[in-house]
Amino acid sequence: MTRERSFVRMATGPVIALLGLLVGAPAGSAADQGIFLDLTHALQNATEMSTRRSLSPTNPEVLTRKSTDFMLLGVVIAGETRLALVQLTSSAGGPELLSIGGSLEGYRLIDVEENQVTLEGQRGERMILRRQIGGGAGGEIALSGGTGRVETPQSTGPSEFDRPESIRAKEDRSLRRAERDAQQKVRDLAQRAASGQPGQPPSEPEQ
Amino acid sequence: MNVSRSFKVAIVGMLLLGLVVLGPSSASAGNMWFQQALFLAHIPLGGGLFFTTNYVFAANEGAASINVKCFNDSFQRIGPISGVNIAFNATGQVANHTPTTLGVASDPLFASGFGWCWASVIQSGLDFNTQINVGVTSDLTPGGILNSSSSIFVGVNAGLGETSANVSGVPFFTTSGGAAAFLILVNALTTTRTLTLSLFDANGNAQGPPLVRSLNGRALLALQIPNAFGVLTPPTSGSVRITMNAPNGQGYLGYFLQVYPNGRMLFTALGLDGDDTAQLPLAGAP
Repeated sequence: MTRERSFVRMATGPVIALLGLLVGAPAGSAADQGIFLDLTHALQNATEMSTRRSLSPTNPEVLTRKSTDFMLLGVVIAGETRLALVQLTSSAGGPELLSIGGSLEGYRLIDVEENQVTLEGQRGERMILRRQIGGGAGGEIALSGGTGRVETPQSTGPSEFDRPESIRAKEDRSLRRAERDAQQKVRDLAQRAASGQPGQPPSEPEQ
Repeated sequence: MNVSRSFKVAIVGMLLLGLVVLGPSSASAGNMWFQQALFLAHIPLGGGLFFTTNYVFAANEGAASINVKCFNDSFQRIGPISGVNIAFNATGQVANHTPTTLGVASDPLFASGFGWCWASVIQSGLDFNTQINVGVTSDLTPGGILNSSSSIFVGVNAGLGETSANVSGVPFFTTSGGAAAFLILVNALTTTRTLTLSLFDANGNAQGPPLVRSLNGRALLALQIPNAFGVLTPPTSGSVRITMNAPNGQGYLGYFLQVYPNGRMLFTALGLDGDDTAQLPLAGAP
């Protein structure tokens, strides 16, 4: 009896997980085991996809040199509409207004955000173009309620977000809190070391 | 005399303790914050079951309006470009949301898989709380993971309001009995980060060389632990230490999923070193 039970225990978990086979078990736990297998495989697949994407040549950092061939002059965001105004730096012609899926010099526009857009090449390589801010070239075209308005380039720094006073105060408080915590920690450690508690090291090395 | 002195010492000690306990102190995990990163998953398993996430937003500081914008694991925006606005009329009000209500379940860029969302209160700066429910369920209605009796592998955690610019870690993983462990790393901001992950067995012995991974801006990286390290004979249990190549400022955050064959699941946030943390800034909101 005990031997049978230990055999089942030995066989179920590892064998099911490793070989993906469903072995004899009570009905309820068999269903759970099946879901466990489905879940594990699904999570493994999602993980592999994620890893593959992160290691693929779509890493925009690898391609930042190429991104200098393009200049993002502005974006249009109106409801579901997403457009990017992109200039080829080597071209004497005017900028191109691209919608999602539109192409310029073999690169397809696949994403538009407030401050950046993503272009994808024919081999899946990607580059991120960031909006020129404060340099005179950039600008955001924001359409609201069917009426367009063009925002002039804004200065760099947090003020571009036009933050209310309460948020600025919050961020200041956050900074002060972090500084205070660090200072308090240093004071506490120094006090502890100065008290010379017997048998206790003054401080532990950082991991 | 001695009794009196001891009494005074005790009183002073209690007062000091009171100051420490009751005084204003910063939370070591400031997750009730006006900017939060939330783990997102929506994966069909067959038979009408989904491994999915539900969010419960709570206006704990005041009647806020939360804007939620989501990304897939290829740092692409998914769902409505302007995000989904969740308006609260009163302090303490709660709202349930799913990948469907956030408009990401139907997005061709997010048919299924992992992703993450940035939840932001921009106008008022009021802080809020988010409960993330993760689990296997056939009930895709808001709150379905917790409400449905058929839900299984359920885990709960909070939205994360801070990042680490250097050290963090997974305190414990195990593959014993067929359990599977997954690490979810998120770079919520736009600057690319390079992370170094070190695998240890439960006795603290380093296992193999560190794993170096680049994390693009707005990117999510999922790794199976310990398989991702490629160690020939990986430990059946242990921990993972993560470091970043910047001493301070903003960094990364993450979650850890551990599923067991017995229907249990752990869903926990990465432990971020308090020396290296910074609250997510408004300027980082997408």
